[in-house]
Amino acid sequence: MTAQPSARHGVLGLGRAALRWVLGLLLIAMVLLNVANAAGRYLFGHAITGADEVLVFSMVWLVFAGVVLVTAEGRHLRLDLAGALFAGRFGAARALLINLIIAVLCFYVALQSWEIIGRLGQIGQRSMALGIPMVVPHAAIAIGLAATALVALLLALGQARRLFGANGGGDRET
Amino acid sequence: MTWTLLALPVALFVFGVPVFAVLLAGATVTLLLFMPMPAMVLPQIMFGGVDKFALLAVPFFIFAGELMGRGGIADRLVDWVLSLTGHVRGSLGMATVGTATLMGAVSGSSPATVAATGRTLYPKLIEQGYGKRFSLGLIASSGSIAIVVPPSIAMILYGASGEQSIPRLFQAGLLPGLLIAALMMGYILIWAARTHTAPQQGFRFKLFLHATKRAWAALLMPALILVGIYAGWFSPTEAGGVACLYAMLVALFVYRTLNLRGIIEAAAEAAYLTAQILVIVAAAGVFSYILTVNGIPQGLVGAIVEMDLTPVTFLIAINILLLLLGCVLDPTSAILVLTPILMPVIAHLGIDPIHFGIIMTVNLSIGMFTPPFGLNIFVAQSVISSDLGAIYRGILPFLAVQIAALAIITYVPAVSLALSWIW
Repeated sequence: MTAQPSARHGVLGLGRAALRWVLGLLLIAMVLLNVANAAGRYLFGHAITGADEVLVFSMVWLVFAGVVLVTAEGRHLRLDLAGALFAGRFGAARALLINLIIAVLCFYVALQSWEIIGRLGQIGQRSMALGIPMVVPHAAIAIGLAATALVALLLALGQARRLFGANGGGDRET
Repeated sequence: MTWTLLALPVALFVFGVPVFAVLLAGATVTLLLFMPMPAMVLPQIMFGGVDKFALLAVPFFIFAGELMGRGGIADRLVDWVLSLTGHVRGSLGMATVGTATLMGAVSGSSPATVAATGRTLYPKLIEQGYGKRFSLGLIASSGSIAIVVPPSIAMILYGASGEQSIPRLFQAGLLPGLLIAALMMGYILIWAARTHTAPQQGFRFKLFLHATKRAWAALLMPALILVGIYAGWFSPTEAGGVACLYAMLVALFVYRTLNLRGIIEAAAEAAYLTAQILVIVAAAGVFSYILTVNGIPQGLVGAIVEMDLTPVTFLIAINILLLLLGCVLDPTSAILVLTPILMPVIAHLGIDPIHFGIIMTVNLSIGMFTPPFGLNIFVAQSVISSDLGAIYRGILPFLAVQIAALAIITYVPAVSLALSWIW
């Protein structure tokens, strides 16, 4: 009976570790591209075409993919003064409510972002230097926030199960 | 509308909702209830909030900070500063300020500096008996010096937004940054004398030479960054990438403190911290937009202009306004929102725009650690895993010191402009 949740946690843990490494490698690639661009411009008089564009779009992806991880680990920057006031079941209810707020907000903004992606796709807008479809960088918000909403919802469901389940635990926060 | 832009965010914030969600909730509810605008502007402005080349300095400098911390570069800088100040009471506290100033000359990012000094120096401060509250306050507040000492992300944004020379702003930021550091060290000296904190070690030239030999590659880093920027080899934002590459090479081949796996882990952590911080910048962009469209900053500035103030009283008023805004808005958003509005006012009053840029930067740097919303507070909380109450209480004396420095910088323009007169 315990194999299922641990397997699920194992898969989620692997996914998180994989995403962390992908983000780390992306950042290293950004650093190398940035330095190559500066060196090319200063030493050879030629900047790498579209390097600035690639760097900025990569940063947008880095941020919104990273938010999924931060949400999954409950490590968003926040004020924790109320934490001491809400212990036990109240603490679990508070954590549940916070995750629901994150889920609703992120889902709503992701939905609006899909609308924009649809319109950008229709008009075929592309970036100025490399002609990258603008759908690509904008998708970071839609996908990142949709995944964040999903993660927050899953966390909220787990908390609801603990809060209203047979054992009535309720001593864990986000 | 007041409740959606003020009461709701404050309530959610106190309840413990993440800062990005607080700002996003305030903006979204206001937009849906009171503004005749499609909600599609929300993701568009969020995208615009992080789709800025200048912001690349944030992940780069955070990564540089991570590499400095994990690769032993920060440790060597700390040891070098300690070899200079170790014979003085409160030397470790002063070394924290000195390291933050040196890190500022490399990173230009206040959160990155807090992250690096917090990780390296907090355990040592506790070990040496500085106390949790003092140490937390010192680390969160000394990180603000990094914004004022060039290169500075805040100055880049002010220069871009107010059409001012970024190299001149960097030049003007040097003495104010050193002044803040000197006043903080002065306070630490008095505190150490009152609490009878023992000096770490006597000054020995041999020890200083040994520390310099160990730290030469680390000490070369700020020199490379500043010379590179002023020689035109790279832009201030690109300097962040150069700092990362340099730190990687030093950690891999000079100090041999990191392998490739360690570099990737440092990069992953930097990416994680970047997401934690820049998602707030994205949400703050939306919140600032809603405030601006509803004329709230303009209303505040208009009220100041209507009072028909002299430059001296205007600067007092603007200092109060910026300190208050700095408590709730991140410097990036505050600079981008306020600079275009304030430039005509300062031109009308005959205030030097470079001097004003420094005043604004120092104000907002103080806002970085002013309770309740100062970003450095949350970075310190994230890195040290401490409770906010202790950080808030620890910050108060350093807040007073930095406000005193702000008063000097505001009313003695020479502190900011002297270098440009002689250079």
